[in-house]
Amino acid sequence: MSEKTKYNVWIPDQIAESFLDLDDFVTQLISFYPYLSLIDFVGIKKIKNFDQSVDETTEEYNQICQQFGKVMQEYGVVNFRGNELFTRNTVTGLKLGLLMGKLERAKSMWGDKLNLDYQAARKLIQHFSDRYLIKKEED
Amino acid sequence: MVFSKKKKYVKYELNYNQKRKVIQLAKKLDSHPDTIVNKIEQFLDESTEMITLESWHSILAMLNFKLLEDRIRQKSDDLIETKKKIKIQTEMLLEYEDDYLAIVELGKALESLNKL
Repeated sequence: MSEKTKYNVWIPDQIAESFLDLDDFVTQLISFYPYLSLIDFVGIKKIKNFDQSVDETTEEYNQICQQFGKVMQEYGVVNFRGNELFTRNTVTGLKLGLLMGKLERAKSMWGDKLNLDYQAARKLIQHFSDRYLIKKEED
Repeated sequence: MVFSKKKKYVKYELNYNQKRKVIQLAKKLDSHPDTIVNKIEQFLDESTEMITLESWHSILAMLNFKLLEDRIRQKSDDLIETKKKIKIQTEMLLEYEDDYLAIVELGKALESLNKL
């Protein structure tokens, strides 16, 4: 939208003078924009072992990343198996489509003489073809 | 932005990359680039006394810290979400197996029609 608009930031003289590289400074301000309101200027002075808590948090972050990696892998395996089974059911189910024709034929030929619940059979075939033969939309 | 009359200001024009970042940020936060620039100015104005080259290093460290904490929160959420997906998919596997048996069974039953 506003690619051509100029954006200016008015920086107090006192700050601008102490920073040699204003480009860097402003880029950092933009990058951390969502966190600017959370800066606790009083707190910063009180923290003594800041490095240590950063190390601990970094460690915690790495651990959770590792854990997440494992879970993603597990999901990958389950998902792959799921797709495999789904495809198998689709392939197996294809035959049912052909059998639907035979069912119709059998009904017209033998009707009630055959001990077969046509309606139930048709419903079952429909159920499986809805599930496996029509492309899954959620994926 | 209301400028204090006691202070002097330097006009800094955002470069191309900074501008792009601000525009992206505005989209992401459902805000407007002007609002973001104004808030940055306001922040600088209100914290003028606190921001020096030295203190900025500590401030950056704290900001990085906050960012990291946020990422940990995000990752924990993702982790829980993925575990839920695994549970659902595992249940689906059982359903797929049951369905397979049912389909095969149905196939056999209908095959027998051929023999009539």
